[in-house]
Formats: sequence, C-alpha cells, structure tokens
Amino acid sequence: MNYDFKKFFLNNSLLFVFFFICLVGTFTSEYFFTLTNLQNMVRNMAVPGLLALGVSFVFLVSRIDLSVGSLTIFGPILAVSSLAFFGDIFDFKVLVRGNQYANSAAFIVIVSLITGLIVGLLNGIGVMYGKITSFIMTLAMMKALWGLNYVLTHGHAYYLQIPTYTWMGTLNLFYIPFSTWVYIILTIVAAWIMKFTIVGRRIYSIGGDEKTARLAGINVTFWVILAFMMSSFCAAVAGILFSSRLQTVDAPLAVGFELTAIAFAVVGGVSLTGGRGSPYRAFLGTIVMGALFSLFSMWGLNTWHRNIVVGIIIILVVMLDQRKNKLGRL
Amino acid sequence: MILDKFKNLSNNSNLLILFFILCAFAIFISPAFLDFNNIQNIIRTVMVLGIIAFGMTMVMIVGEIDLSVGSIAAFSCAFGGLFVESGSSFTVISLTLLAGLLCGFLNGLGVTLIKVPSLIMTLGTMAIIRNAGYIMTNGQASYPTKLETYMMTAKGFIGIVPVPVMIFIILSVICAVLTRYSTVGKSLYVVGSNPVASILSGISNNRAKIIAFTVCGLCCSIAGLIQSARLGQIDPHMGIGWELTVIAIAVLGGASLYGGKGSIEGTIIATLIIGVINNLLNLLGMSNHSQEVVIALIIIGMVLLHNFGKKDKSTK
Amino acid sequence: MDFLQMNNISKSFPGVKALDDVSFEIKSGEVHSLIGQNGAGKSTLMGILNGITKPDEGEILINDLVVKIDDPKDAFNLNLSIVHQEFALCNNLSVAENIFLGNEPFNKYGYIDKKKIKNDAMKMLNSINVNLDIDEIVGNLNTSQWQIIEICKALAKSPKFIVMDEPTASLDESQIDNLFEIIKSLKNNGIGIIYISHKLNEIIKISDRITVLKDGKIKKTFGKENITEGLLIETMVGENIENKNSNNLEDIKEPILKLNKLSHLNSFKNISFDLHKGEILGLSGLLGSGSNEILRSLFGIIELQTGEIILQDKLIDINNPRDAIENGIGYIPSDRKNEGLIQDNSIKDNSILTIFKKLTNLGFFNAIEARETTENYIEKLSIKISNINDFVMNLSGGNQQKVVIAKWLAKECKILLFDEPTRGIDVAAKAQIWSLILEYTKNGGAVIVASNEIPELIGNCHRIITLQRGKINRVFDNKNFDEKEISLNISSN
Repeated sequence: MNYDFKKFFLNNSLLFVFFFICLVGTFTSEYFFTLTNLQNMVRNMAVPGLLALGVSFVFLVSRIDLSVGSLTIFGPILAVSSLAFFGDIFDFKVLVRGNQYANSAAFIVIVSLITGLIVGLLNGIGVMYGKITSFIMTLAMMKALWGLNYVLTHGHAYYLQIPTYTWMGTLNLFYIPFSTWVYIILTIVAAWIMKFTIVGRRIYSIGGDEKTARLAGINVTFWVILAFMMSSFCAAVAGILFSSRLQTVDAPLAVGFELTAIAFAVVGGVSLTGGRGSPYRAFLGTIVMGALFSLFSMWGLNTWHRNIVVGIIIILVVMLDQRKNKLGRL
Repeated sequence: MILDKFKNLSNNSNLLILFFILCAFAIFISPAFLDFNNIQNIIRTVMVLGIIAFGMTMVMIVGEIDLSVGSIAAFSCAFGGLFVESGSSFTVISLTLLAGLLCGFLNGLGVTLIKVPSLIMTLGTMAIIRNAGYIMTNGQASYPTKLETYMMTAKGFIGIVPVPVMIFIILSVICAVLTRYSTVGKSLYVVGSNPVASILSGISNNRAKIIAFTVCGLCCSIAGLIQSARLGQIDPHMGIGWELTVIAIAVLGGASLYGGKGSIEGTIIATLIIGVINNLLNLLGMSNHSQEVVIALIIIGMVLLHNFGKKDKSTK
Repeated sequence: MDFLQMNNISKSFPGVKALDDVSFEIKSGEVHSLIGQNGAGKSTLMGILNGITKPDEGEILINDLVVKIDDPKDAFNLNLSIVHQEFALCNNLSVAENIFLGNEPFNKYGYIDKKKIKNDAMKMLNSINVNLDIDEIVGNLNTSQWQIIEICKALAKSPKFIVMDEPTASLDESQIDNLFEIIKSLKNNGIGIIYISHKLNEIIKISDRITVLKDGKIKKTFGKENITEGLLIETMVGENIENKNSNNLEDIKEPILKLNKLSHLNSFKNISFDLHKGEILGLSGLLGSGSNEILRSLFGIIELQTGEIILQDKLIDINNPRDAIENGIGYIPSDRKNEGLIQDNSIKDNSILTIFKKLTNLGFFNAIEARETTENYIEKLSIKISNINDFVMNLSGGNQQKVVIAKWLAKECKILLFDEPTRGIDVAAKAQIWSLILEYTKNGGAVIVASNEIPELIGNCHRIITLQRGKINRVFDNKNFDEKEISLNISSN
C-alpha cells in the first residue's frame, strides 16, 4: 500500500505541480480562482492540448512533427476560401468577407478534417517512402502550408461569423467549454486506443526498438504513417475549435504553435526519442503548462515571456531526458 | 539512368549548368531579367540569405542543424540597435556582431556540453532568442539611418561593386579558405562524416561543433546587419522563416543532413540559383508567400534526389 | 516426431569456400550442438537455415519434404525459430508484450486480448519453470532475464525447432544452470534444439549429439557417450600447429605499461599484467570474457571503476581517447568500418587523422606535408592503392586495416592496442598485418592483441593471456604455447 502510494505520487507528480500552480494563482491574483478565468484557462488548453496529443503519437515512433502549427489554421482557411471561390462561381452568397456570410459549418469541418488526414499522409509518405528526415519533411510542410495560408487568404482575414460554426468556440456544457470537452474526449479515446488496441501496441513497439519491431514482422511503414495522420487529425480538430473561437481565419494565426505543442508534450514526459509517453502524459503536460500560462497572464506577462519560458523548458526537459538515457560515453 | 545523373546535381559543375539554364529560361520569359537593376535586386535580396547559408553549410558539414538563424539575425541587430542614438556606427556594428557570435556560441555549448540534439536546442533558442529581442526592444523597430557607416553596409559602393556584394565575396573567400585549407575546416568534415572514428583518433568533436555554430551565429548577425541597413530599420521581427530557405540553399549546394558533405562553392552557386528562382517567380507574378511553397518543394525534391537509390538511409 | 535435414549444403563466398558438402540433421526432443573455431562455417550454416544466406548447392528437408527458405518469414512459417546472440527487445514494453510482439491476439476492431496475452505468457513461463513478473517493463530486467524472454519469443511462434546462437555469452554461472533447465524442459516438450556455443563444458552437459565443423566441412559427429573436452578440442583444432614462435623472452625486460587491478562493472575484474617494450601480448577469450573491454578501457572508451594504469613508472589517468593518445597509446578497433575509418573520406585524410595538430601551421592545414606523410606510410606498409585521394571504402579489408595502422604509426605511438586485427581479412593480408606488428615491436613499440585466432597468436606473440568471465585464467609463455591447451583454457571452466 505504501509502495503503491509512492508509485502513484511519482507517476502523477505533475498533478501536484498543477495544483500548486493553481494555489499560487489563487494567492497572487484575485481573478485566478473565478469561474470565468478557470473556464478560459481550460478553454485555452484545448487547442495546444490537442496539438500536444497529436505530436506525442509522432514522438512515440521517435519522429518529430513541426507542421502542426501551420496545419491548425490551414484546414479552415482551405475550406473557407474554397467556399468563397465556389460561391463566386455558382453565384450564391457564401462569401465570408465583409457583410456576406458563409453558411456551411459542416463543409468547413469536413474539409478541415480531410485536409488534416491528407497532410499527415503526405508527411508520412515523405518520411517513410521518400526517406526524408522527419524534421525536414515536416518543416518543409510547415512552410509550404504557411505560404499557402497567405496565398489562399490573399493576406487578409476571413471573418467566420456563422452561428452554426462559432457555437463550438463559445458554448459551455456543465460549465465546461465545448472545446475542452472535445479535447478531453479525444484524449480518453486516444488513451484507450494506445492502451488496449493493436494500434497502441504497434506504435509503442516501433518507438521502443524499430529494428526489433521490423524483425517481429510489424509493418513499420504503415504504423508510422498512421502516427503522422493521427497527429495531423488532432491538429485539424484543433484548427476547427480555434477558428470557431476566434471567429476568424487568418494566415498569421497559429504561427509557432508547434513549439508550444512540443513543449506541452515533453513537459508531460513524452520522450522525443520514442517509446515513452502516453496521451495521459500529454494531458498532464497540458494542464500544467496551461495553468502556468494562465498564471502568467494573471501576472501580466505577455506572449514574449511565455515563449521564452517555452523555449527554455523544451531544452531543459530534453537535457534531463538525455541524462537519464545516458548510455556509454561515445 | 537520367535519375542517376540528377543525383549528381550537388556536383558543382552541374549546379552551374542548372544556374545558366535557369537564367536562360528567365531571359526567355522576360527580357527584363537582364536589366541591371533587376540583377542588382536579385543579388541584394539573396545575398543576405547566402551569407547565413555559409554558416549553415558549416553547421551541416559537422552533422548538425541550426533553426535559430533568423532569430539570431533579428536579436543581434536589435541588440546593436539599442545604441543607435548614443553610439557610433562602429559601436553598433561591433555590438551586433558580438551578439551574433555569442548566440551561436550558446547554441554550440548546448549541443556539445549539455548534449541536447541540435534540432531541439536550436528550436528552443529560436523561440528564446527571438522573444528576448522583442522584450529588449519592446517590439519596436529602431532606425539606424543617421549612422553613415552602418548604412554603407547595404547602400554603399566600392567602385562599381555594391558593399553588400563585396561583403558577400569577402565572406565567401574567408569561409571557403576556412573549410578547405584550415585544420578546423578539415575537422568539421571529419567529425561530420564519422563522429566515432574522429573521437577515437583524438579529434575534439565538441570544439569543431562549437566553432561551426559560432561562425554560423556570426554570419547571421552580418546578414541581419545588411538587411537592416537595406531596409533602413532594425526590426526585431526580421528573419522569421529564414531557416528553411537557408537550409534549402545549403542542401542545394551539396550539404547533407547526415553531415560530412557540403562546400562553400556549392553554397555560393546555390545562393545564386535560389536568387534567380525567386526573381523568376516574381517575374511570373507569384507572390512572396507562394514562393515559400516553391522553396519547400525544392528542398523536398533535393533531399529525395539525394536519397534516391540509397537503401540504408534512416527514415527517422 | 519431426526431423529436419540439411543435405549436402555448399556455399562459397568470394575467395572462401564457407561450407563444403555439409549435412546436418535434428530431431524432435534432441539437442544437437554445433561447434567449431571462428570461420568454421557455423554462422553461414545457420544463416542458410534462417533464410538470410542462400546455399549454392544442397537442400533442406523437413519430414522428408523439400522446403525452400528464402527469407526469415519462410523459416517462421516452417516453425523454425532462432534465438539470436543480440537481444532484440523493446525496452519500453512489458515481458508479456515482448513475448507476443508481432503476434498479439486481437479482434477485428483491433482490441487486444490482454488477458489472453498474460495467461499465455504465464503458461509459457510456467512450462519452462521460470518465475518472472510478466508485467515488468523489460528495460528494468537483467541480461539473463532478457535471454529468457528471447527464448519465450521464439516459443510464442510454437516452433518445432529452435536455433540458439551463443545463448550463454552474457550469462553468469547460476543463470546458465537456469537456462539449461529451460532447455531440458523444451526438450521434454518435443522441441528440437540446435545449440551453438564456444563453451565446451556447456556443450557436453547439454547435448545429445555434437557436430564439429572445421574449415567448412563436417569433421565428426559425436554421440552422447565418452565425450571429453580434450577430444572435442582435438577434433576442432586438428593437427597441432608446430610452435615456430621464435620470439625471445629475454628481449622483453623493460616494462612499459603496468596494469594494477583494473575492474569495470561486469566486464572484467582485478586485471593485472605488465606489458614490456618490444612485446606482443595476446589476450584471448570468448565473447563476454572481457578481452575487448580491457583494450577499450585502456583507450578511455569505457570508464574504469577501479585500478591503476602505470605508464613508464608514472601513474596516468585515462578518461577519454584523447588522454590515451596523449600518453602514446593507439587503438585499432575491431569495427574497422565504423570506428576505425571514415569510409567516404580519402586514404590521405584517414591516415593523418591523428596528427592534425602536427600538420597545422598558423591554423592552416599543411596539405603538402599531409601528402608526404601519407605517401611515406603507404610505401612503408605497402598499401596497394591507385591514388591516395581514393575513398577508403573501395579498399580491401587488409588495405583498410593498414590505413588504420598508418594513422597510429604517424602519431608515433609507444603502445598499440589491436582488437581483432585480422577479422575479415584474407590470408595473405593477415600475414602482412602480423609482419607489420612484428616490425613495430622490433623498433621498440609494445602491442596488445585481443584475438580469438589462436594459431595466429601462437605464431607471433611473446605471451598469451587467456581470459574467462572477466578474469585472467592463465598466462602462457611462448615456450609452452600449445593450441589445444590454450583453446581448452578459453572455452572450458
């Protein structure tokens, strides 16, 4: 019993860190422990949380995905701009700029999700069949999507004030924002998949030792591509929630999200070298970093400070991880 | 096989041929390409990235990568820019270069001493250094227009040669000599080709890596300096997204992501090629942002050609 | 009752006939051991059985039916499992998950039947009488437990035959006993086992039949009765080579390197010996005996826990290869390809790797002197090349090894450590390498050679130290070199 408690404490020490941050927040700011702030806090966790969940699949197969940031906003942009384009052709008012409104939320959602899956597929194919190092492949993808975002929007924001779409960003169910529900449900589904199904087993075995997995007859190519697709899918979902919250799609949005996602995942204990970590760990990282970000904004620190902290944390965590894995001196 | 021939694209003579083909194509598309102003324009725009690519080539030769180049350029200029009102050109320029040097050194220390993989280290410093620049300047640009020597770095002429071109040429000679004829350069290739064998031969891998990163940081600050002088403002937002284009130039010039390969000569030609491609796309009426897509495709294409037919490359 | 036969198998590699008309068979419930010296053809034979190597001639039959084994999957489909020498495990997964890696039972929705996995793993461990927590993460276990998991992985494919390649290399005594219990219960379950090992006492203990391979031919197959280690050695070695060693122990009086009680984790313990000026000292021992690790620790690649290294009456500290090199020690690694040479660099660049400092003038690299130095050594070592700017990867193994040696001669080292210097090198080149070593010692250098090529050691060394399980077993002087005696000292307890 005693031992179990110790194990539980070690495995979930981040939970205590989370409570500690909340405690600090409550004592240093009168606004921290208000319903509005807590709702904001968990709502703001949803998008980076989903991205962190996504990239952790890719980390588990010991690869990296830098394209999630650009992809987040690419799906909605592609959907909205194609609505605008077809609206022009067929002469029906779906244009979203100015005083005209698009009216097909389902279209945006579906196009975003499919786009996400396709981008993941391309990443995976480039890495596995093209043998392009994953960081170059996804860095190039990130830049390409970034460029496309500008091309498609012509550098101006589209306003997405469709009630059938924007409710996702504003609705609260049982005091908890809809985005957060989506995030939590996806995390639970992912945790179930990773723990109880063949998908999880394959992904963990590839991350543990790819050569061994190959020797055991596992189709490494397929599962790695799937991991990339899972990552991109999560990014697409995040993009829908993000754009519905902001009621806007614009190219400069979501720039640099990949870094936040990586930070959230590694803080939770998802290893960049593969095989170690889980959706639950990504979740722990998300709540800790989310609470920290909320605390920062309470203290009046801006994104600049936040990004510095993110950068430092990534380097520190990877350094500690490297120490733990130290094998030999060469 | 045609593809086999393409594989040798990294070969410098083939790169030159590619360069001339592109030029011919550009002239065919638009005679305006040959316009003196246009050529100057090409050179001025691409020179900045070319200078960083020298540093990146060295980092890649030693088998690492630097994603923080754009941030270093912005930060070092912003740091120098703090003194535009109070200091002379000399102070501002030397502080800029010093900042770049130190940032590169920091990357090198991180990669060697605390053994964080360069991808992660420079991804982290990319965020840290850039945001430190924002905080330092409060996100505001500063204007060095009063500093004559500073402005000379982009606008001046030595005879008929623009100063930035002169800087590019001088730097390329220095870097070429460094990689080709110095012992340090020799060790860059050795460490990048086989780090284990080089350690077992008594070569200091750490020293080679730190030197490569430091030179890269210095190159970034020089490039940032020219860019700031060209635009007449020192903008802490400068250089976002430069890393990919710079990596594209280095890879096109023959540098390998796996280390041990690459040359300054190749990088020079690759710089010109990227310049012509950019200009060609401009002439074709493509926006800057769609060019980003083309650059991404080029780098993927280059890596694919490079990998073609090599079976045992890792797929990480 | 199943039986597997390999009939009249022959296989040639460029320059060598690895297998010459070899026939081998194995029945259910039998342990058939395969022994032979390095290069006798054991691994080729097993490669053929596993589908990695294709035989030039001959056929494989299972229960009198000819089968084709073109890749490891075919072997698997024929209920043939291999337990490799290297561990292939996922350190992040549990014991049960590793055992069923790649064959997990799951339904059409991808849901894994964890209970079945656990139960089956439990049953399997019980059937071989092993007590192991099936939920433990493999990374937290020790090597002998890994070995058991490897065997279980093989069992999970419900094999009829299992090949075990040096399964005891990393195990200690009690663990070996444990393994033998497992092998016995496998036998009782009707599984045929092909057992490959260098350790003769084990072989005798466990085998029903023993086949001795020598130079690609079957020398003899023994039954269970009246087997002695001496007899096996006799068969393996054949004619005792004449001790033509002409080294004079009187020449080596001046000690240059003294090792005092060196220890490193599990690799070796309390190793003490002296090395003299002009001496060639052989270290011989099986995989896991610590001979290679001793060299690596002397060169600063692995860290010593305890012990003193005294070089010419001065206590020295070696923490990394640079320290060793500064003290005049050079290391020729067994993994020439990855550790010795930079494959895609030129011969010139490789042979001056160690003397960068010397070739530097005001930061510039003195290419002319580099060329002269290289040409000098190419001539001295008679390295056959067309151009010193060629890549070393295009050279033959022998010439590559010479380039590595040139690198250390250029550095003018006092002591050279050779790790398996003649591995993967043809016969003529082997002799050349040895004559280079001899010449080096004649000029006052000292050499330690870790090798299992006992005839070569006998022909060239002043002394040979045999090692077992990280301890010095016996020190032979060149007067009483005897191949059988030395072989026996290495491979039995």
